[in-house]
Amino acid sequence: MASVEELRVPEELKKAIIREHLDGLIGRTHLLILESLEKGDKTRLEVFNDIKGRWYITAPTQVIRATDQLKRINCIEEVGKKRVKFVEAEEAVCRITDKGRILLRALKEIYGEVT
Amino acid sequence: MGERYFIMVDYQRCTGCKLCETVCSLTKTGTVNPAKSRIRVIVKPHIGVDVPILCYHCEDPPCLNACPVGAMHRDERGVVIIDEEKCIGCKACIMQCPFGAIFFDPDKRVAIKCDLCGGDPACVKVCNEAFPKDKVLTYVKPKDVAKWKMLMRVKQIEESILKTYRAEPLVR
Amino acid sequence: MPEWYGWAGTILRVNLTDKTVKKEPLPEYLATQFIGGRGFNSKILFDHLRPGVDPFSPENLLIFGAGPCTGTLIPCSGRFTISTKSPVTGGLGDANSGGHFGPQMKWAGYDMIRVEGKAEKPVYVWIEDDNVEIRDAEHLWGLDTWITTNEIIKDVGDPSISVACIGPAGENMVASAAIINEYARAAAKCGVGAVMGSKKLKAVAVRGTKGIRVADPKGVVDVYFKYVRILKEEDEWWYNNFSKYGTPMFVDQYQGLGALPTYNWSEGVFEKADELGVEKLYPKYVKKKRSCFACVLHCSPFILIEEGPYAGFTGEGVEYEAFTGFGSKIGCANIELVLAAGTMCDRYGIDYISCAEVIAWAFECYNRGILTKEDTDGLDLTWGNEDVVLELIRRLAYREGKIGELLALGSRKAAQKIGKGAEYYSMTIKGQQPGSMDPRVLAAWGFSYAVGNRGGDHLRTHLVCEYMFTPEEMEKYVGTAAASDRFGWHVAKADLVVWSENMRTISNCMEHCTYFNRGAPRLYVEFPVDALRAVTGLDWTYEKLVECAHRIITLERAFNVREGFSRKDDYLPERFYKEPLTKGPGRGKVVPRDHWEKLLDRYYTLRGWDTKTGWPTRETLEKLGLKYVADQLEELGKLPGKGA
Repeated sequence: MASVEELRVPEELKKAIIREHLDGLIGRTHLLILESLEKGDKTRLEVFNDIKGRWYITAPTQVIRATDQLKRINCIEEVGKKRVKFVEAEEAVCRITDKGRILLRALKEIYGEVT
Repeated sequence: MGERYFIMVDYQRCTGCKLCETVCSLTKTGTVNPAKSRIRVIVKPHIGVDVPILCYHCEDPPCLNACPVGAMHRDERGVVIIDEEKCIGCKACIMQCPFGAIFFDPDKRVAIKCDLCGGDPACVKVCNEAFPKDKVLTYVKPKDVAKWKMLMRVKQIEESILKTYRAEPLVR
Repeated sequence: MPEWYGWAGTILRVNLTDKTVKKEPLPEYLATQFIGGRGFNSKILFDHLRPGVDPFSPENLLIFGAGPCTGTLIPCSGRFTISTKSPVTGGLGDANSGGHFGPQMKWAGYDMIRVEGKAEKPVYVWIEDDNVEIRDAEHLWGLDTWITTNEIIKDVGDPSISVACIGPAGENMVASAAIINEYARAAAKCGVGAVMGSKKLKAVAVRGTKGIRVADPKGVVDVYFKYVRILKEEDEWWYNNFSKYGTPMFVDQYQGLGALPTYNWSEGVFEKADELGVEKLYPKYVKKKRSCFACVLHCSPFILIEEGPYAGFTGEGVEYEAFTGFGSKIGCANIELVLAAGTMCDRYGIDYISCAEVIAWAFECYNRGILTKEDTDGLDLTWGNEDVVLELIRRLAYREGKIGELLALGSRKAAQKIGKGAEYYSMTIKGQQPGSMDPRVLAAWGFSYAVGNRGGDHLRTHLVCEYMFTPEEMEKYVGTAAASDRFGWHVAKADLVVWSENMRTISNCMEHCTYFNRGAPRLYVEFPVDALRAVTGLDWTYEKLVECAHRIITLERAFNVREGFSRKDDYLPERFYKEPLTKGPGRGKVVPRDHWEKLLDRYYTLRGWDTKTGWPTRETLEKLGLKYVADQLEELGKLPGKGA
C-alpha cells in the first residue's frame, strides 16, 4: 500500500489521511472502490458485488470499512438511502467526490490495473 | 442564583451497564467502588428492568431540611452539597430522601450524594458517549424536562402522520 | 507486599472436602508474566494438576479468574474466565462469561477463586468482601439457574449480589453443562458446569464493596473516551449494527457469506434463513436491550413471546448460536422455537453450542438411519421437526431415557457408543464442537478451530479481522495482504491465526469482551497497552503483551501435551475436507488437505514448537521463562529431541 509521500495528491488530502490514522493504509482496495463509484453511485454492498474477486476482496465488510475510510477523508459522500439486504435494511448510497477522483488518479499511477 | 439543572433519566432505555456508577466513584474517589457511587443502578436481568437511582435535585429538598447540624447547603446553582467535615453520620437525610438517592460512605462514615460534578456530570458524559442515540441520561434544566418528553411524543405522532400522507391524500 | 492497582492482590482458595477457606497474596510474577484472568488460571492448572487426573475427581480444580481491568471503567471490561480440566476434551478447559460476576469478585477483593476438592453434600459459597462461607445448598439442589439465583438472593437478603450457578445439567454432569451467572450469561464451554456439579458446588455468590484502585484515574477515563471514539469512527458499521441488533445479526451476515452452519454443517446457506433473521426478531420480540458491566454496545436483546404456542418465554441474551443450533443446523425455521430453546438452555444451565451440536448430530444420524426410533425413545428426529427440540433439551439436562443419556455424553462419546459410522457426523475437534461459521469459506477462521487449545472453538481467535480488515490493514498489521482472502489457503493464514490468538489471549487476560475490538486494528494493538498502563501503572508495551500471550498459549499447549495431545489432534472433522459446499457463495469450496499440512507446519514454526509433533521445544519454553515446564515434559518423554 502507498504511504502519503508516494501519493500525488494535494497537501490537504495528505493531511486528512494522516489525521485519520490512514497513512500507509490506502491502496488497491480503495482504488477499486473509487473506480466502481466513478462508474455510478452505489451502496457499499453494490460496490462489493461489482469488485469482488479482484485483489483480495471476498467479504462485504472489507468494502464497507474501506468505504468508511474514504468517507472520513472526504473522497466519497453519502447522498441518500436505498433498500439493499445485508443486516441494515436501508443502506446509504455513496458517490465519489472531486477529492476522490484525485485520489483515484493518484492510486492508478501507483498500482495500474488491479485484478 | 445560577441556572438550575438536574439529570433526567429514561428508565425504559437504561441497559444496566453501570458505566455511570463506575465513572462516578472513579471521579469522586479515584477508585472504582459502587459502594461510593452517588448514582446506583439496580439491575434485574430476569425481567429486563434496570433502574438508575440518583438525586433529583429537588426544589424543596427534604434532605436539607432534615440535617440537624447544618452540614448541607445549596450552592449557587441550587445543588445541595454535603460538607463532609460537618456531617455527623446521623443518616437523617438518607432516611428522609423519598428516592433513596443519598448513600452512606462505608469508609468515611458520612452521607454522600450527587453534586452534579460542579456542572459537568461525568455519568452523563460516559453514558452519552457510549449510547448517543438512546439518551438514557440527559443533563437538562427543569423547565425543559417536559419539552424533552413532548418532543419525543411529537416525533412519534409525526412519523405516524407522515405515513398517512404517503398512504392517501388528506385534502378532500 | 506490592501496592496493587487493577489487581485486587488476593487469591481465595476454597476447599470443599475440608470445608476450609484460605486467602493467599497474589504472586507478583503471576501478574507481570501472565497478566490475569485466563492467564492466571492456566498457570495454576498446569502447576497443580497432575497429568491423567480424572476431571470429575476431587483433585480437579475449578478456577474463577478475573483480570486487572475487570470491574474498572475500561470499556466492556465485565468479563471473567472459569478454567478446569475438561471432561469433554480431556485437556485444558476454560469458559469465559460476562455480566457482573467478574467485577463483583474484584470489588470483594479477589483476583481468583480457586475451588478444590469435593463437598459431601450440595453447598454454595457465599462471599461478602472478607467474609467467606461455605453454606448448605440442599434446598437449592435440583432447582434451575433462575430459581437458584432468586433463592440465594432471598437467603442473603441482598438483590445486588452476583450469582454463578449450575442447573440440573451441571448437577447431572452432562457434557454440555454450563455455569450461568446473572440468569443469562454463560461460562459455557468445555463442560465446566459438569465439573462444578461433580464437586456438588451449586453456586458461588458474591457481593463486593471494597472496590478496586487504579493507578491513574484520569488516565482510565481518558482511555474510555479515546477508544470508544475510535470504535465509533474506525469500526462504524460494526458499532452501529451490533449495538442495534446484537449477535442475531450474524444469521443474516453469515448467510450472505455462505457460512451459516446448516443441516449439521453439510451446507453453508439455509433456504429459510429469512425466517431467522433480524427483521423477524426486531421489533416484535425484543422489548429492550441490555448490557454486561461497562459495556458500550448493549448487544443483548431482552425478549418476551406474548402469544402463540411459546407464549410466556422470556429472557435475555438469546444469542446467534441458538439461531443456528435450534434453527438452521436441524432444518427448523421457527424463531419462537429458537428463543424458547435458548431460554430453556439458560435455565437448565446448558451451553447452546454443544447442546445444539449433539442434537444436530442426532438428527443427522436419525435421518440416515444410524439412529432409530428405539434409540430416540420414539421421538421423531426428521429434519425440521421442531416439536421434539424442547423435549430433547429437557431429556439431555436430566439424562432422561435412552436419548437423554446418549445426548448427555456429547457427540464424540455418543458416536463412539453408537458406532455404525456415527462418528463421521460428530462435528468435534478434540471432542468439542466449534460454533459460528463454516471453515470451508473462511480459511484462517477454520484453521483456528483446529489448533485452539481448548478444543474446537472460534473464540481462541475470534478471527473477524479475516473478513473485516481491509487487505491494506492486513498487510500492515499481520504481514501479508493475501491473508484477507477468506477463500484462499495461503500459508500466511497461519501468521494471521498466531497474531489473532495473541490478541485474543490478551483480551482474555485483561479481561474485556472481544466484541469491543473487531474491525479496527488500533483497538487490538493500542487499546490493551493504554488500558493496562492506566489501570495497573506498569510499563506495558505491545511487545510485552504479545510475549505474555505467547507464554500463556505455549503453557496451555504444554498442559495438553502432558495429557497426550499432539499434531494428530489439530484437524477438522472429515466432512470439511471431503464434502465441498454445494450452495451459496461457497459453492464448490472445501478445506484442502495438502494446504492444511503446510499451515500446521508454519503455525508450529511460528510458535516455536516442533513441527512433527506439535510439542513446544525446550528452547521456546526456556525463552518464555518456562524451564521447569521443559524439565517436566522431558521427564514424561514429551519433549522433542534437539533438531526433531
